[in-house]
Amino acid sequence: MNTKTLLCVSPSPDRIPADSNLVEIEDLCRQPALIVEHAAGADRLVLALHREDYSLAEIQAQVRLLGLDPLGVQIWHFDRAPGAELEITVNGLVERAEAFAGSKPEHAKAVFPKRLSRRALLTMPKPEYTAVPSVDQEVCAAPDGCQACAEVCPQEAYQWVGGRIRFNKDACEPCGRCVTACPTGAITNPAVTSVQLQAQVEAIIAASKGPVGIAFTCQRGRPRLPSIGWQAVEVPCTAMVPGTWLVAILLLGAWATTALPCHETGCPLSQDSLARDSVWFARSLLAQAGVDPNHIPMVPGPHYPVDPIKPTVLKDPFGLHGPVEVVLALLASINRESTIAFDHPAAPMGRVDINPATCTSCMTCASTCPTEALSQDFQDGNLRLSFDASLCTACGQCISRCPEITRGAISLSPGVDSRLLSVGSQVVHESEVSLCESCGAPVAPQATLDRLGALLGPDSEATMQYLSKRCLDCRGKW
Amino acid sequence: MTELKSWAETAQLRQGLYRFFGGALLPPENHRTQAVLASAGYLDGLGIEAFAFAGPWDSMLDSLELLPAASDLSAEYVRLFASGMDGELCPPNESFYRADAEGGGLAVAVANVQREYAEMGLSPITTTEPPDHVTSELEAMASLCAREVAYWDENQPKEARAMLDTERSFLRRHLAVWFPAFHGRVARSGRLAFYTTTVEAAHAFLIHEVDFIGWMLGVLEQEE
Repeated sequence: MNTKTLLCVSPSPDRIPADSNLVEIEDLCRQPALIVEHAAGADRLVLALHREDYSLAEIQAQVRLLGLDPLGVQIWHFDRAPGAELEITVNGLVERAEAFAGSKPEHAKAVFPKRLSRRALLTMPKPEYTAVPSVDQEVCAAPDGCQACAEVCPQEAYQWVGGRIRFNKDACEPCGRCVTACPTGAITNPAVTSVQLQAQVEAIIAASKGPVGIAFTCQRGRPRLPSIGWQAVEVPCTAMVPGTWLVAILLLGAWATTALPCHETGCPLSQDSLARDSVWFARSLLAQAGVDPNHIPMVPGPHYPVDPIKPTVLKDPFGLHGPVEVVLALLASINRESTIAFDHPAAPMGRVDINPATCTSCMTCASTCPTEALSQDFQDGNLRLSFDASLCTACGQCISRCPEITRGAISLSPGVDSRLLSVGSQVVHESEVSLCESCGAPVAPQATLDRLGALLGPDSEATMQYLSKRCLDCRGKW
Repeated sequence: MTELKSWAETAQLRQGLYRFFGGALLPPENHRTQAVLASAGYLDGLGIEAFAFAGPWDSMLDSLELLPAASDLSAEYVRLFASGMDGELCPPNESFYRADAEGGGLAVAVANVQREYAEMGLSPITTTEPPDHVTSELEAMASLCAREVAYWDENQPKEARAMLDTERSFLRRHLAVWFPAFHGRVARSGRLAFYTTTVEAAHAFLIHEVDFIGWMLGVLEQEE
């Protein structure tokens, strides 16, 4: 793949690596037309810009003239002359750019320019575009009742209507929370895929000659990192980062990592606390595993703990099944025999418990569960509910849909239990099923019928006889 | 800050794009195909690279350069949009996609769009294509854009803004609803790049239009 990196050289960098695809261009920020001249033939593009007032709209137009997708271009803003770390940063961005798999028309959202000209009525400003997510309706679990995206979106851009998710692009201020909250991977943002993130992280680590820290940072806030030893991986908002992403970075070979809250002056989407919660979860996970939690500082500093985790090959640590892969890899990397188990509200996995006294075995939880962590089967006259912790994303849809939630029929404890993760599916509740007296077919779980009888009261004996002794087909012959 | 062009010129460009796609999806008679090719080249020189649909537009231009023989184009038009022979039928009519979903049959969907044309002061002049044909609806959008151009030229921004509202409303109620399903069918069944890339570019343009009209209205709102 031919990836060009164009670097604006004002101010002049101290050191440029001997990379034939890195082109220095004087005042590129103010002359985007130079992009076409210098990047002809490129398949991917990385732009290193230092001015804040460049025209993104003009840059995107020039990129389109090259036949490239602007949403796949990596733009790096540097506010001080890049020095020794330039090569590491560029390597990461090049790999991220090369891992871009393309976007669809629905992924581009026109956003208002930062400043509107006073002459906007005379001459129209060019639109700038940002990448927004889209929903793959074929994969989406909304028909089963899942509303995970609608529950986390701070802008109410998602609506569940009649078993289908409606996405309002106008309302979306892309933060990525829907992407990581979606239990089925139906929601994707082409500018921040798991493949891109892994490519960038691995490239940074590979290019670093010594210890390196990697911080997830917010595209909106661009917080400052220490000048030496830390690299940034930008995401739409660090509220989208689950704690296991941080542990994954350590497992891939970084010495330290963190996720910085969106903005020094406060997150415009009011999600400041979520990145911190993820950091706390990741620190807890390390501590439980017997690893120094200071590998994940709240604020990145110049020093790391001296004992990095043994690097591990990970398949898709930032993907849908990444959390479980990361936890199991962490335990494997430290050769720890014993299990770890702890609850944490920011854990991207969890444990479901059923209260047999109040569960009516209606199986709404199993039919709603988007990942099939909860499943049902009928065996030996019993209806069985099973739970597989390795599939649970703690999305909470089972809790939201349970009709007996007020009686505590089901509970979800976000957290990590390494024993549960490795045992697979286990039966968590069983209920005897009433059989039709006429044909022997199953009628309904006895627990459901008992609950119904209790709700209808003592005068319902005849009705309950009718409902519990005959199946739907045989009721007409009663 | 860089600027695109005047609001009137932008509306004119959009009008041209609606007319272009409308023409490309009519039966490929020789003179019409030549006009479509010529207008594609003309429109491409008007700054389409500023918009997000430029990628699919460029793919379409590439396919137009490799135009098949007129007889092949005609055969594919009939197969794809009229007969469905040896593949999935892809009717370029709104009623086909909405009649089942919303009830009332084909006639109701046609009558609805015809009534809206009348309310907007439009009347389809073609006798060969029904009012809910993709070209009729694209031409309706082109007519609204033409009115918007006139309002901008006459320095009547409030009226131009109201016209943008009308454009968005019509788009959201019609083309934006059924064109994605039409595009899906053509993508699955089309055999000539001329139609698959043209419908794909038209879809990208329509997706962009729904956003872009909203964006323009937002800019005008800030201006007030």
